[in-house]
Amino acid sequence: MPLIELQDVSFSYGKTPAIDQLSLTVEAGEWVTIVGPNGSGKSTLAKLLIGLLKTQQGTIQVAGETLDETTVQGIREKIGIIFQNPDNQFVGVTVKDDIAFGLENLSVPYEEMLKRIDHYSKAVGMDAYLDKEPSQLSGGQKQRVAIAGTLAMKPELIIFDEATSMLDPTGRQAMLEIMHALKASGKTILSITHDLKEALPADRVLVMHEGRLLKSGTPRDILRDEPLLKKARLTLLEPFKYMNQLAKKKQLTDEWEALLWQSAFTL
Amino acid sequence: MKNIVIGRYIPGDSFLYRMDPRVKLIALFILFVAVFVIDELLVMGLALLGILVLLPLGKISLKKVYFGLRPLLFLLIFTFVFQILFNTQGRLLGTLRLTFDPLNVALSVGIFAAWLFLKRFTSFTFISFLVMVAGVLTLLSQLTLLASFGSFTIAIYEEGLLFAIFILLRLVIIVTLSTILTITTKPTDLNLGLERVLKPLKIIRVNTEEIAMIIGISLRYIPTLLDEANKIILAQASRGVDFQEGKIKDKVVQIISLLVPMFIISFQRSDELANAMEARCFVPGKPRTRLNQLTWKPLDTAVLVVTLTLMIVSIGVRILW
Ligand SMILES: Nc1ncnc2c1ncn2[C@@H]1O[C@H](COP(=O)(O)OP(=O)(O)OP(=O)(O)O)[C@@H](O)[C@H]1O
Ligand SMILES: [Mg+2]
Repeated sequence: MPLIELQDVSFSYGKTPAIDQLSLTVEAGEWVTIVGPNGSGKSTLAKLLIGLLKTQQGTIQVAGETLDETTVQGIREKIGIIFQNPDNQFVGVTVKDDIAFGLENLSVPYEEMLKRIDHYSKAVGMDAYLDKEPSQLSGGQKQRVAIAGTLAMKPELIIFDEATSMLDPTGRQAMLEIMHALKASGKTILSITHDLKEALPADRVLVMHEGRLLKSGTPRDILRDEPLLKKARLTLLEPFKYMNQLAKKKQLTDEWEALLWQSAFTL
Repeated sequence: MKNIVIGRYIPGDSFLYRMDPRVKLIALFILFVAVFVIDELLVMGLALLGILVLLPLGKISLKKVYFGLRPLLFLLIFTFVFQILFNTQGRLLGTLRLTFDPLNVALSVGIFAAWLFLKRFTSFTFISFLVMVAGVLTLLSQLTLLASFGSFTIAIYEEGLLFAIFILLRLVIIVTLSTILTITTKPTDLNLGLERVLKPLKIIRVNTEEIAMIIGISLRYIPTLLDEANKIILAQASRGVDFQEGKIKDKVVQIISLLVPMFIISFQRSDELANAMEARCFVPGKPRTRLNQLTWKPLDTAVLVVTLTLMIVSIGVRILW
């Protein structure tokens, strides 16, 4: 049974649909990256998944349960989400309070709360900042706090909606490392991004366009498809341009491919 | 810009820090009542003396309290001067006749300009302000060499002076007490204390938890909003909006150019914040456990007894004196 299953889901804010008869599945433990141009419906999809928006057509199932008013609270416990702006999701007055916010909402007992705050602040490397206020933290640190607050609620799936786009390169790198650790610990990851580099480590990449799914495939499949990338207005990293050119001339050896693939990661 | 936030928590340790925030709020309220009941200058002076003894006991330096008072200094001075100038009851204590001639007016303006210029380099803005005012007053009352074109007499009456001092003491005490509260209490604790203290209002259907949540979030976003205002001012300044100078019309343009983006950002922010809270399973009105627990200690009972006694004494003094 897939963790997430969408069947013919549609949603529109006004006349034009933001999500147009979308069907897709995400397996438990999978790292799926969604890419697509501005306004292609990525954030809308994320909000539909955690029930911040209601589907107007079709069904969403999470771990076999159909999302509706009666199940939405239970489903929100299974799905955590990190948004783009670090400042607009920091609820607590201090780091500790912010990590505790979700736990308080779940009525987690006091002792257990302390344990989880300790554990997850260490997991994201923010344990030395527990009493700091958000104004004393960098954007990357605030995002790490948001992750700790979400992880502490023990969700099965974590959605990152352009969570790295407002960060500096160091902050981005730290976030990517956390995502790798999450994947290793068996969590399911759904990351939404404009940055193809963030698509490289994924198991599967989904390309969205005007509320529909253009293509689903491994990062390699997607990176080879230059017309598709053009349509989705994504800029290819230099090594992949060479890779695709070599492939066109049928000169792409396995060694070259492995080498270029490696270099993209270290860019 | 972050350091202008009034009444910031300053980490430390003393009995004032260890008190339960609920008790601090109730004690503050009791003392406020006491201060408003007092109507004798002498008793008010004793109350201030009491606070001056309390501060070192609670390991709070005068400097920190002064930082709390500073934003209100000009209000305090204004009230004081207003009382002195317009309360004409009691014995006449003395008069100060100010005569204006071109020379001393020019010199006064010079002194004022010099103060404006110099205050940037000194940390004693307030003291230098007093020196400046004293200088100007001396000049205007003593030095009249040229033909004067006007004069003004300041008359100080006994009751006016005493009442001005009385009001000043009362305001200083109130602000100092509040400053002690905010210096020694973490915003989270303050908020939680407020929520618990207001809990009886639940009977009349006031949702105290939501009020506390709103206050908490406001506290959390004050520094962020100030940062944002700063950024907008810089951005607008780089587009040629001048926030320092200008006529009234320009000022209006400046304020609009600050407020419009602030509003748009705030709406967007509250929308995103509400989403983030809901995504983390927040349901308004649903019971929640709390990370911050409050514990009532013997110290708290003692503090309540002492403050209640003080209030009763001040009521007694008022009735019997
Ligand atoms: N609150 C809203 N009200 C009205 N229309 C909206 C709202 N949010 C999004 N839309 C519209 O819905 C469409 C999909 O938006 P969405 O935010 O899901 O795109 P996105 O893929 O996340 O884009 P981006 O990469 O810019 O974040 C866009 O056409 C957008 O203008
Ligand atoms: Mg988006």
